[in-house]
Amino acid sequence: MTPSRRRTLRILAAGLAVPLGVLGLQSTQGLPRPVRWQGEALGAVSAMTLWSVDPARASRALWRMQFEIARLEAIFSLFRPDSELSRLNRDGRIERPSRDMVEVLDLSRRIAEASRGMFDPTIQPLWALHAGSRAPDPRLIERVLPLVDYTCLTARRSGIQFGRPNMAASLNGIAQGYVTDRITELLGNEGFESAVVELGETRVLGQAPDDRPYSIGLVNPNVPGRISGQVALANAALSVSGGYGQALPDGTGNHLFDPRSGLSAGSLSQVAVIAPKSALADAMSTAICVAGEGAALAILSTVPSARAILTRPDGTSVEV
Amino acid sequence: MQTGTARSWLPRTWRLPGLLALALGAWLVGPTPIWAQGDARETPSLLDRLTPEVMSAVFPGITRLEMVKDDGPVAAAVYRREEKAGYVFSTLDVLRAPGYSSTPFDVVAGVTMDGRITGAVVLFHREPYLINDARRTALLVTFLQAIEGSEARLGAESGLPPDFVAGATISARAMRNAVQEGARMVLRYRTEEIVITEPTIDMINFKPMSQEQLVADGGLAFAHVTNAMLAEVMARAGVGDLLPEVPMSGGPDDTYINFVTGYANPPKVGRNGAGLEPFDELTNRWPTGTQGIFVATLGGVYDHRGTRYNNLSNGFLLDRVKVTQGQQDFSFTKADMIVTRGKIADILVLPPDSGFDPMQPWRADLFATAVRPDGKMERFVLAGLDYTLPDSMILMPEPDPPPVWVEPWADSMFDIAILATALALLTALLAFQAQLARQRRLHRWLRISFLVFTLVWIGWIASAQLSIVHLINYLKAPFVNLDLAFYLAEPLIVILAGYTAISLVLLGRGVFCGWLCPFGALQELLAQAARTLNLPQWTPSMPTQRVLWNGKYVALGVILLLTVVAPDAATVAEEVEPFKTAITSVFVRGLPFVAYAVVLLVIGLFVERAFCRFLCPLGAGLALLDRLHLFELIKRRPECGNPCQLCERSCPVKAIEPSGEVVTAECFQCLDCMVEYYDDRRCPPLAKLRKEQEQAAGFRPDLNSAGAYLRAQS
Ligand code: SF4
Ligand code: SF4
Repeated sequence: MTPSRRRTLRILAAGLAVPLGVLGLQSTQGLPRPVRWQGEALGAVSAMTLWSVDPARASRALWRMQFEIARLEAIFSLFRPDSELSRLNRDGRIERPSRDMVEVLDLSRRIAEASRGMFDPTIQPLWALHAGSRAPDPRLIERVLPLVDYTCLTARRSGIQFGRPNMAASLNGIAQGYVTDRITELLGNEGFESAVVELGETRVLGQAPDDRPYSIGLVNPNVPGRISGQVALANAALSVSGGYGQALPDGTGNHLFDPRSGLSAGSLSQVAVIAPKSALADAMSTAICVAGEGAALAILSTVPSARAILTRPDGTSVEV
Repeated sequence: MQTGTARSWLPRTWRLPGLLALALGAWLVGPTPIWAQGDARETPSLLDRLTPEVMSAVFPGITRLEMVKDDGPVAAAVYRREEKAGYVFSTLDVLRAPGYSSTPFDVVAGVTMDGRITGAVVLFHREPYLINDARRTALLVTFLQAIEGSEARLGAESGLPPDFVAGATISARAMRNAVQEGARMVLRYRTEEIVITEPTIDMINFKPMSQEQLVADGGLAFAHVTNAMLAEVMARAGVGDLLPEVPMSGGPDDTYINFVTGYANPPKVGRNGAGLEPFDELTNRWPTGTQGIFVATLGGVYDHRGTRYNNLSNGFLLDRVKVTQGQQDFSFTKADMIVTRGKIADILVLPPDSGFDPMQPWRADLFATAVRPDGKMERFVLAGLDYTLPDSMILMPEPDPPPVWVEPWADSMFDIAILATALALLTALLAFQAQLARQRRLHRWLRISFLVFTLVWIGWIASAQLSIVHLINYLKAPFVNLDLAFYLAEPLIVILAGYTAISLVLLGRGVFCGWLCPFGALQELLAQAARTLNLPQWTPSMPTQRVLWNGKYVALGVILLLTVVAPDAATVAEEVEPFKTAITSVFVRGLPFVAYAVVLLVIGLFVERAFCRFLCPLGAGLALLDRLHLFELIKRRPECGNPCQLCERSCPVKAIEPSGEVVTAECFQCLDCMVEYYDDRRCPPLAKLRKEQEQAAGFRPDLNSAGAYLRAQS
């Protein structure tokens, strides 16, 4: 063997040794294991599941995420009198809002425009009307309807303001979606590859550890407690809207209102939207739920790669 | 709590279709509860939901139940034989959240008047989309069992640490918190909530306790005086040859007196000791602020009262008992005694302005008298009892919860200790680098060991690889209003980042890159192996290298720019850094990532630390900040660079200019050059000096002549 051949061989061998060593290391690691956190965020029963080869690191990360959840709760909570949202609703305006608040309102506006007001962040006065114990007087609804108008809401970094007195915002699902997005992105930022974040909305990071998409069951809107189908989800968010999710205390229907009539919407019994982000998915599913099947395509087209599974009251479903 | 794993699906007609009705325990498996039938629009009233089965699980042993008619949180008062035992409430009623979502579960729970949870039952429960319930149901049962007996009032055990992850059910924590919060709300409205802001004597809690229990608990101080002890005390008092006023009876071991004393105001002491009536007199008939000292004689021939306190001539003075606190003495007269009938037990009262502080220790002296032959009385202390109010009688304010980030630090104490030791060692290595560099073998050995530690422990085991993501997070911190705790909760990273920041200012980028970066260590260890195997090494010329050096700044620039304009793209760009792949996930990642990392490592075999020098954005960030450093670690001589090129050649990463100048931004402070610098057989000026000295002395080589050179220089 000539010296130069021996040299080449040595180079090749060394070059090969590295990948082999890496493979060897990899095999000592075992499979990523799930670490799970459960709790409550923005009033919703919540969970985060994180897969990692290092469970200690994963649980530290989950623990840290709670600081972020707590911070966002202090902005978006409707129950806390001192939250940014509560102050906005009480005072009709707010100086120097947080970046998060402006971002959520911007997003709401985008979807509101795309859905021609079917999704409306200023729906809160209607909500409040229905939250009483009796069905609201139709005349009251008449009076409240003009207060539901997202175009009267200006949101800038310098300040947020309602155009009319007594308006109020309910960021409901979209805020939960925003929190879900933030957390999912932070987890990705921390270097995690696979996670399911359920903070009022569901978003998955990456794929399930076996390299298949996560399979998320959809509640059957007509048969409570049953699963009507499964959605494969990878690196995407799923938001399900439907009348069944919450019943109003006054018994007149569900939590989705038609801003045109002020009454519960009900043309579809369930809308599941799959979109890259939870906040978008939530706003779109709400909008489609209110606007009906016909408007679905137009609304979905505002977000590339968004799709939806619509379930009609008769139990049939379509995918758009 | 009665538990079971059986479940029943509530009828479809239930008015909240879609709420996944999860009923735990046998009570719901039987007849369908009233409130689940029909399509009643109203939420069934609490009373309707409290079926006997539910009640027996939630608040066992009660005899009567009645709704509380006030404006407070909805609750039913429960009675045990006409004595109010507590409340039963439903989390749905009490905490119903008007807004985002109606409470997704209803837990009925009971709480006693003093804030103990007696039991809890889940009446319905809605699960979210991920399906997994057989396991969760079982876990939920165990979880709710753990609620029993937890305290609601003082929040002693409110909630689980948020870190509680492994496998509990999805709503369990929320439920548990809801139960405790609900209990607090129900109680706060009906019982006068005592907000304890400073340690307060427990004037509320009472439980029947025997004298023995009180003594054991510290509520009473106890003195047992035998005849023998009496004789001893008298001897010490100098009246040993006299007779006691009350003669002894029986042998030396028989009891002369058993005496107890204690602070009477806490009901545990006063009510148990003196009985209901005297205690009531103390608390209700004397002015507020009156303090009571409980004294009692439990046996023996002697007693603490005597008879003289009945005599006017004696001023009605109770001359057998005196209380002392600090410099202050307190004596009592007949008027100050609340006497217990049928027992030799009294409460001695101190007026509110007496200056007695029950929180401070005090002392009660029991006196006895000896009679001189001439009839004169000699008083002496028979027993002195020191008393300090026991902790069990003091309500402590709720401790301020420690800042949230403390927990991860406490949890990783052990890791922190390891890291701190390593950093201390590294600091020592750098501080004594001259001594270290003189020992070629030791330097080699220490360096390789430290790199192995950095790679294996810091990198793979503790996952504490500092990365560009951290740098960007820290830079972004002022703008993104993430909670400070968010950063603090990663102790090892915080420590490493702090150490790196300080070392950056003092010495330069090399302390981190050369010693603490796991990926850097991995490359360097591979390069060492490559050199051992004699693999060919590519060394770019200085001008080429200068161009290549800029590569990392470009990488950093692109990432920073993207962070601002397109955060999503920035996350992709950050992947230029193979740390996630090679270190934090130990190569358990998608093939493209692993392949990229492997390619970088293979290149590193032939070009020393190629990634570090030409591509690493974190290295670039540190190199930029490095411009500020205050001290030069790498020493130079006038001969360095001209004519000598020894250091330059020895530098594995070629961070020494041909002029002999060290480019600190590219120096990894591996100290290889310093080993040459101090080697008086290889460093030419040093070698020359050594030879001169040897010749002058006509002497064999002095192995430590580097020191001599330095001395000669200075
Ligand atoms: S240049 Fe980058 S990879 Fe190299 S040691 Fe420094 S931080 Fe680590
Ligand atoms: S050999 Fe090079 S990298 Fe190492 S300390 Fe000297 S100049 Fe720095």
